[in-house]
Amino acid sequence: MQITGYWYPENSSARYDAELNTNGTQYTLKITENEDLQGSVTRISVSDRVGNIPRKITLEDQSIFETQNNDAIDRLLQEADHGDGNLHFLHVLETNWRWIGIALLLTLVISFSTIRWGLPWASK
Amino acid sequence: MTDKPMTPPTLPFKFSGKGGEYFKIWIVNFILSVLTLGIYSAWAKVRTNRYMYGNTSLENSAFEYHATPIQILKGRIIAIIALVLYVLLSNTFPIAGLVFAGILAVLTPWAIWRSMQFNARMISYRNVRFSFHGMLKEAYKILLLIPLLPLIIGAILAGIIHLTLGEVAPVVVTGVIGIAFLATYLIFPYVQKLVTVYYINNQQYGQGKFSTQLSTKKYYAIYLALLGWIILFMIGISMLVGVIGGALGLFGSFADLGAIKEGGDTEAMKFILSLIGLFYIPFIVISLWGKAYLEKNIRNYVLNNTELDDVVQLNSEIKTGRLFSLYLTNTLLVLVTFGLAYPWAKIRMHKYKIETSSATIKGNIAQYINQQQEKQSALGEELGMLLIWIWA
Repeated sequence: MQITGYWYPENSSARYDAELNTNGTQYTLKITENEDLQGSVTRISVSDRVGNIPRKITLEDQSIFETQNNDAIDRLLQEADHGDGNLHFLHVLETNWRWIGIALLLTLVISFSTIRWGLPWASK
Repeated sequence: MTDKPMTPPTLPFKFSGKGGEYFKIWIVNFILSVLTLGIYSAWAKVRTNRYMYGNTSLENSAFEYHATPIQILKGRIIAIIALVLYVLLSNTFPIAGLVFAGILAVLTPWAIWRSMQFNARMISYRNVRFSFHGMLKEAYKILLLIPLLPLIIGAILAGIIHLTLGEVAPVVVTGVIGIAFLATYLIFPYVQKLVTVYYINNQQYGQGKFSTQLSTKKYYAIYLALLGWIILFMIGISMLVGVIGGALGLFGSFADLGAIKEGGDTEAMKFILSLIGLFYIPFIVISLWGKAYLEKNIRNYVLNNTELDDVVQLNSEIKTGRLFSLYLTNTLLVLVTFGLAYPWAKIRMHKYKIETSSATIKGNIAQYINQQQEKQSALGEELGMLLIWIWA
């Protein structure tokens, strides 16, 4: 798998084009003007997915790889059975129209019940 | 970058959030918060902020929000315990409640100060965090001492007058207190300027320092112009109401008010609806316009006078008309959909404000480095939100 993005050294705003290649549980990060970084996928930490905001991958040396390619990162986490994919169900809830429909229905029921029965009860 | 261009490039801020996408996050946040009796609201806050910052970008790099839900939850729990204590105490011992309210008032500048620290620290751009370095002493001065100064001086003067003048005192004392209250309103633009300067001049990006120079005169000019416009609108609308009302014969029908009590009278209903339409709606429209006018003038003035070292100059070119039409249509949208359109309204407004802002890059933005900082707690932030809610 090949994922393009930016790489930042630890604590620095210097930005370099980078390309993440994975092979099973190993990754290689090719960085312009810098040496390649390599390691095990299990040792990186990945931010949770929210909508389509850029994903932040913190490497072992605390440097940062940032990419817009959310789908590829999701696949990577799934293939490597990485723990940072655990909260992915929230993103599934937030994108699946069936769940949204249920949430919307529940919201309407809750709002209606609050106005119909909750308020009179509270004002007693 | 080795070769510097002659004119520094001005780059626009971009906002890529979408109403539909945010609606889904928002409704899931709402439902899970209700189902978990509020616990999920900490996750909801983090996901919302991550969505808003993560979709805001400059030169292809997005901002990032770093607070963890557990941080927020801890602050929120302590803030709620404080609220429960406050309600229980003020219900059982009215005096204890009063003392507690006093303590909360004294705590407010501290909470705002902590909140400024927390919020700055939780945001990064290009891997480097923002931070806030304002002194607590200064926060107390501009958030408590100066706003209360007219009342303090008024109280002292009233005391002296009462002791020296004796008999005529009540009238004069009332006058002095009245002037003190008026002065509290009159110094508001000055206090607002002080707070803005305090906030920006203590803001850092890595080792870089933000700075701004704002004039008090300009703030008063903006508020005075606003007042002038509103008076003009009021006069215009009164005249219009007079003409239309006269033409419809509304004012002759005040006697019909009695008919309302009889119930269901269509004439009376029509009368009430006309009254609401004639007085209430223009009032809301004028307030929204005033809000837009103030925001346009102050935001543009502040951002256009803000820079980061001599590397980044911020710019903002909001237009009153566009901002006003956004406020107006958003209000209608949210009302008509019973609140369900709120996510779209929020995204539209945010997009406009972000995308009318830009940054002129005069130096090397890659030079910034994270500064060592102590761990932050969200207590001030959460307590601050609660205090604002209590005072409002």
